[in-house]
Amino acid sequence: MRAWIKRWRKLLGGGLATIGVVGVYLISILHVGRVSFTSGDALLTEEKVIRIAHNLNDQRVQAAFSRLAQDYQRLHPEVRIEIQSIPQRAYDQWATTQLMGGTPPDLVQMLGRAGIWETLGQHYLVPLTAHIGQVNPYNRGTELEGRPWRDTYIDGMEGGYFFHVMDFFSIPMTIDNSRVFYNKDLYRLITGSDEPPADFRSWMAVCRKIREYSARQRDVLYPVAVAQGDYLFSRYFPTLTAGMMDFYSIWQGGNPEYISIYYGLASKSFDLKQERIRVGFRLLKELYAQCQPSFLSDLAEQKRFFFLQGRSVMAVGTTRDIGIYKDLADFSVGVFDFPQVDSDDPAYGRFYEGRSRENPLTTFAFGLSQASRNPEIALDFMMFCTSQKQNERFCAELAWYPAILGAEVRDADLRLFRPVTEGVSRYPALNPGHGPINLFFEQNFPLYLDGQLTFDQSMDQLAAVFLRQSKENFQFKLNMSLGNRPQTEYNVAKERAKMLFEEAGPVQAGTVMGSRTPYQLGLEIGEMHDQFINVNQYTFRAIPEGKYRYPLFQESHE
Amino acid sequence: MKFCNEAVLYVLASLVVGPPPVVAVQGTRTIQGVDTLTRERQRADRYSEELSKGWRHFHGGRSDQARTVFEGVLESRNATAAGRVQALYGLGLCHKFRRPVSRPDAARESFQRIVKEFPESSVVPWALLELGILARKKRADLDHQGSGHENDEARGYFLRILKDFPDSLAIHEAAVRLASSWFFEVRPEVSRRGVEILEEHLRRYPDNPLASTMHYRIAFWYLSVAQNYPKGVPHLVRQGEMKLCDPFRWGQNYWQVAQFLRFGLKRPEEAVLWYEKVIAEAPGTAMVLSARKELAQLREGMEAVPADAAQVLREMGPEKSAQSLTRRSEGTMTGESLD
Repeated sequence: MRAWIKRWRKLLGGGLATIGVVGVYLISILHVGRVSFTSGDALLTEEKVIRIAHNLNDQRVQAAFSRLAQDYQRLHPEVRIEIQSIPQRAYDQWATTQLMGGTPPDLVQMLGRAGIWETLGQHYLVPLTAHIGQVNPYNRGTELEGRPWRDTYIDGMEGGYFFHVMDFFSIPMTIDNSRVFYNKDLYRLITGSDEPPADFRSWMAVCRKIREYSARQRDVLYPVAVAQGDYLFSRYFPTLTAGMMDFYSIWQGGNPEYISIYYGLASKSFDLKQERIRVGFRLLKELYAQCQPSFLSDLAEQKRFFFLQGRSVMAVGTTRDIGIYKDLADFSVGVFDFPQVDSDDPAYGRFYEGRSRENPLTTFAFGLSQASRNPEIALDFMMFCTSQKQNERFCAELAWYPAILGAEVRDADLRLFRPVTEGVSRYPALNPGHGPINLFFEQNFPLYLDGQLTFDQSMDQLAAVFLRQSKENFQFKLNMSLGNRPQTEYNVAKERAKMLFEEAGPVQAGTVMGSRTPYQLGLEIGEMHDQFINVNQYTFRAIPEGKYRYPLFQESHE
Repeated sequence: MKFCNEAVLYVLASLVVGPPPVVAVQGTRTIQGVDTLTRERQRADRYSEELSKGWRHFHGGRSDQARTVFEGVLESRNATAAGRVQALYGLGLCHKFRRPVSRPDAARESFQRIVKEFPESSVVPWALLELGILARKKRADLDHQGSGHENDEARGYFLRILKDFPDSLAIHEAAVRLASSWFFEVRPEVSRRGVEILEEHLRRYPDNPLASTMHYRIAFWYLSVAQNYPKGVPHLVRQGEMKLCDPFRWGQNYWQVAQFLRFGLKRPEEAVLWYEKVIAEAPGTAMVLSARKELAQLREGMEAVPADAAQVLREMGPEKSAQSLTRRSEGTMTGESLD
């Protein structure tokens, strides 16, 4: 009897385990099969599934997306939206493997418009240029009704435009911009008020009080925490030096361009040690002295820790920090705009040209994968997400800044993040951002800030590097940009084929502007790039020979 | 003050003498777009579906798969001449843009077959264009001086298109590519040939689909290499009127036109229109604040102009002023007044 029970127990136990294993196996096969063969569509119903993947683990993002999905599903019961949140650190590899492996979600968050993202867009995403010229039907009843989708964006959807590929490949949902956050409790304790500083001078006065307080308390408390990507240099330096390069940078349409500095130095018509640059550097030195010592290398996470742990009273942060600080800080958080130099400021006022321009490019953008089984529905969902009402609501839930025109921003703190598009932008680009001059600048500038080099020493060294290595630096840039030329030629070839053969596909007229076609655009891009090369081939040779006068230079001195 | 005098003189002269003769009214000189560009478009009478499939592969970057499809059509006994030409053209592009390694020789062979085996086809000039592009040697290093002859083979193809196929749309790109091969010669006395080619082409085909790009190239050669503003600025103005294809660059482009008009040609009253265009047509771009500042400065100067003349300038408004500007630049384009 006991042996019989034992045998049955053994059989039953083993059998249950087997049934369990087989069951799980079958469910897995079913799931894999469903995703592989139907792109996630339900097998036994008419339901269409749209998968969307992003890289933000923030629960609030998941919740806001889920709400969007539910609202969309209510309008379209035959559709189910599945949202996947992929860890940030793994996202690049994940997206690449999914796209290349042919199993991507319908909508993929694109983390950039250049490099690998440009290549992925070109090969695995659907060009959206023709689609974004259509009217977004979800804007019916608003002032955006009847407008092409791209024209409903604050930036004309430039954040989704891939320049070298000549096509729109992603649909952005928000705008990222930065301001100064402050710990109201600490600020009030130290200054006696929580009123933000009115101008740059009073901001520095507040910082001085914080440092004095820190010394009295014998505690480490920094006035401002910043991270390496906060670009205070390009936010403040132009305010005092804007317009200096007007006559040098004509080829760049007035954009900062370091080659102009080389031209100026080589022709002895531009001096790095002039008063405006000196004063601009003095301002930066005063500003950076208020930051934590490791600000040049700290990442955003480290900066957030300084602020949240009460080791800094203020922190430069983006719209995405609003929710983080409001959720996690155990103190009252305020926000203020970057204080500007007052024109009466005794040290800097005489050179103040205006606040620097903020480039409000839209971000958090999604591309439509070529593998999507339901591209029309996926695009329709993105139209829904970026309609004025939905974008307003989505961004309000996350305390993000909307990407769509007229979307209301109710949060008073968030309103402060409104990008200032009219501002100064032309200034001496002392750091090209690439090549040997960039390398030198990044080593040289901290030595100036630290007092190891005087301004004159710092500029003498920089001028010498400019004169010695500009050519090498520019060739480096040229080589980098030449890498995109085959892509442009490939695009032109595709468009040329469409002009010749009906089978090659429709010629998309009016997708770029008026009656022009991508063929014309492609040739224009190629020729503009060639012109840029040719001008510099000539001028790099002619300047040392004294044969070249920079355009309009004479007039600038009249 | 200098500017004020010029502005007054310009306005008074316009009032007394009247506007320059109208060479062409803006609107009739519109860029020919899609209708023009598709006039040579053809459809294969057989294997249309297969060819479409091949192109879909090619557009998706799958050149090897596209090649298989095009080869299939080419080898088919039933394929007509039109189908074969299209397959050969597609095959050439697949070889040319093959990844990771392209096959330029195989590409060349495909295009040459079109020229030899189907001389009556309208695709021949386009095949020659591809052959020219394949033969082109583009040196982008800053020490490059240019030998004058390293692109002779490529130039031969482009010139053949211009000479033998004057009715083909391919002539416009051939002219652009031919001129570009000269611009890379760097030495001004040699690179000038590029300008001459484009100027000649624009004289014959002023409204061709690539005219805007041609004006852009000519303008910047004159402005940067020759440093000849009277020659270069009218081309820049014309190109600005035609607009760049890329609207994200309009602001920069208009600002350049304004700066060169104002400081290069000393015609600030015309620069005003272009600063206004920056604000009106490129809102939110980097040059808007600058344009506003320049406008304020210019208008401040205009206050010093005798009341009636200043009033005329203001009342002129962008539209009339633009017409006047067009007339003047048309005149200069033919070299009538600024040589």
